[in-house]
Amino acid sequence: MNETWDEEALVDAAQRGNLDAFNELILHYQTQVYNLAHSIMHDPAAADDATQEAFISAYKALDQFRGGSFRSWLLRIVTNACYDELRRRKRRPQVSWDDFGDLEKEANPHLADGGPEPEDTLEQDELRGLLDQTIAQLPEHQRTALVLVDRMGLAYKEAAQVMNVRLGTVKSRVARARREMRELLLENRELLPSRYRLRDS
Amino acid sequence: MAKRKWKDIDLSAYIDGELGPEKAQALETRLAQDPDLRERLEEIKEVSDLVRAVPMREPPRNYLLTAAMVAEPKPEPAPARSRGGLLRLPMWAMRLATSVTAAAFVVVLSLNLFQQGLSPRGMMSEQADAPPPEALMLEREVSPTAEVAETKVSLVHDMARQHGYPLKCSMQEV
Repeated sequence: MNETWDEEALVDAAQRGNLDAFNELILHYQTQVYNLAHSIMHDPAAADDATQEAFISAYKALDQFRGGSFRSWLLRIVTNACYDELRRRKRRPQVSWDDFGDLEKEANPHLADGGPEPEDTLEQDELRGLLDQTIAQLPEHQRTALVLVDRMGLAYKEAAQVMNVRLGTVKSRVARARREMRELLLENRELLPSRYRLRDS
Repeated sequence: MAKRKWKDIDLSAYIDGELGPEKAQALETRLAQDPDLRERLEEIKEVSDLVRAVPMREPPRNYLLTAAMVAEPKPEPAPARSRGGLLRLPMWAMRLATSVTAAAFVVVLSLNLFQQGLSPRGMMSEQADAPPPEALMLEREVSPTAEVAETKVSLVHDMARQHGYPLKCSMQEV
């Protein structure tokens, strides 16, 4: 966080209609908002849409923000938007672009990063892919709780604000998500990079 | 004193520093004596560490907003000026239109009956006996019932114009 960062002043200015101030807030939080949307939706295009829509909704609803954690408020907006979209998709199933695998890369090899990728990055990509797939198998609410706490490092209190539930609910969702994750990861233990492989109890 | 049974929810909260100082201290005392409990704690911590080990994804683009993106949608045009505005007419206009249409229908029907009369002549060979169109027009123009119909039609037009709602109302031959 840079030294001149003054979230309260930026929120205040944005509430008075200063779009530049709001854009500063966007630049600061877009990674978290996008990652949360991606974890819930498990679909890059849907996460991209949800992120953009969430920022637009947030700007239009700024007068409803009554102080407290701006991040929680923002993450709650994107969480709700994602849940709405998931419910809509359950009613009208769609085919995700992800289902087509890497067709885009195959069709446009020039778009791919040409140089050899560092081993660490490959390993992390591999791990991230496996984790994303595993997280996607968790029930919706456990998934959100796990991502908020473990991937984004939110305290339980803030996660509870985002999910609009009680602290105890966050506690149990995180615990159940971790236990479930462990079972799922052990089923694919050999797919984990050796350095991250779980011990089989 | 019975030993407390530590659940996953406690161990998970302990890892996150969310157990509370008293409970955390009690758990630590127990962990020091119980290797199985330590093993369970490690299992949960391993998963948490694994999820934390992966950095967040870079978003594919910036989501900066422009004034156009947050502009409020233009208000709906007034019903009177919109196409298909008849569907959005206020209740008074609907009622007026209905009653005037009914009145005009009755007037025109009466006019028609009046012209044809109830005599056998009106029922017999209509084409042969019918006056030329010009004569019929003249006859209708001077008819007091036609005047009433015209007044009603003009009343509708005036009121519609006054309130800015287009209403179609005309006299028709039956």
